Amino acid sequence: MTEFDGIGVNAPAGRRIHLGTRGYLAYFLFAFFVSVLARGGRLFVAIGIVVALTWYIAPTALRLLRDWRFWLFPLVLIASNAWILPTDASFHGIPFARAGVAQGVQMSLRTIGIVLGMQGLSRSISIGEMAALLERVGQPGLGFALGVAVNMLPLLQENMRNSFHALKMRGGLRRHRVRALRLLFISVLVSSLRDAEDIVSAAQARAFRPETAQRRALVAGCHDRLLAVGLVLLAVLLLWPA
Amino acid sequence: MGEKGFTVRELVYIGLFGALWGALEMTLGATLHNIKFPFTGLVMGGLGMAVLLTGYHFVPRRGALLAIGFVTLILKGFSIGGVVLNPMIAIFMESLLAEFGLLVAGTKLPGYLIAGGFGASWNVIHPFFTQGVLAGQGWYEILQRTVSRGARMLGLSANAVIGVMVALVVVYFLSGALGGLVGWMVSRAAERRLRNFNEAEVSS
Repeated sequence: MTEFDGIGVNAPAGRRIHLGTRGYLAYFLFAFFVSVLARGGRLFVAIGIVVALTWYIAPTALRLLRDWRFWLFPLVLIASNAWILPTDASFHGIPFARAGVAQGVQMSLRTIGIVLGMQGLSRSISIGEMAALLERVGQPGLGFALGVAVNMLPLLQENMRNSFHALKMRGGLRRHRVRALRLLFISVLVSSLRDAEDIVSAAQARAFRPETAQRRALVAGCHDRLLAVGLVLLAVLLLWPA
Repeated sequence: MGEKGFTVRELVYIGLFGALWGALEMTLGATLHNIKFPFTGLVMGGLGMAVLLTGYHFVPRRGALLAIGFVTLILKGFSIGGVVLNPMIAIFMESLLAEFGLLVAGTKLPGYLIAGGFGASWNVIHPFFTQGVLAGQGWYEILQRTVSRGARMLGLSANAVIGVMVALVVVYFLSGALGGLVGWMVSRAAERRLRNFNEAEVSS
């Protein structure tokens, strides 16, 4: 277990399905490909399936849909399309293009499908599992770098705060603001590099070598394969030319 | 990833610069997106290139920029709330183009400027890719929107489509090149200061 193991984990409680990293990855890939490739009426079916799947296996990702700001983007998409094309209908006296609205709805659905897939994946697997996935796709050490990055975030915040207060206490922000900002950035960078050196020393003291480091095991779920096979079949059905 | 893969020190630095860029994206980037700040990509592209190319000074290896970008996009993917897919694509493409810039222009100052410029220029193409390819919107509408926004920002006529697009590419390139210059200067200043610290520690 590393310090970043818990981040991003939000497995649904009380569900009968038990998924591991590969299962969630299959879900994301399904959501991505059917959202991008499905056409016409099948797109509605595809997004319906993605929403239902998300509700079942990664329900916290659906919180995004409750955020009113999220709906601004689809609304802008639909509105801009409705008036860019030549108008051929009207609603309460407001003219709009039917083809434009249809196009806007389609684009919004694609966006919702992809975003839900991404949110579902990132809310359901930990950053540690993501690191383990990276190690498996031929990037030895990148998982380690990701772990370092996650652990560096609070240190960066602290360095930033300390440097900012030190600069402020010395009156550095009153005059020559551009120079002060440059100094602030350099001092944050230098203190972070010194922290990084401590991490290097610790890793070297433990004789850590990226190429020989033991791969982290992926979390396995008993329904991973079943879900992957089901989703592949579903995707073929949805994308098969009519 | 170079001839033999990254060393432990290089990996730690990749993590550090990924965290720096990620922190910028998760705080400033997210805020600018939420308040609908116009041409957020221009600001974030320049800042991103500054961090990325500062990182290259400490990990001068082929593939380092791509690795830093990869760590950043994963951090961005795990950040709370909002739409993260578009910035993730932008981060990846910016680091890929910056890597390409260093490959063709070398690793001296001109290489930094060109790499930064290449990376930040992606932000002009970005809406065509994300809204056109992923969301299936017509490229003509995206072009129209980009040109009208660009014309407003640059004070040009929206009828001069090619002129506005060229001007946009130049502006984005310059913001990235400025980021490259900042990266070049800051990395050297930081290295000098770090050396002073180390010498002071050894002598005490």
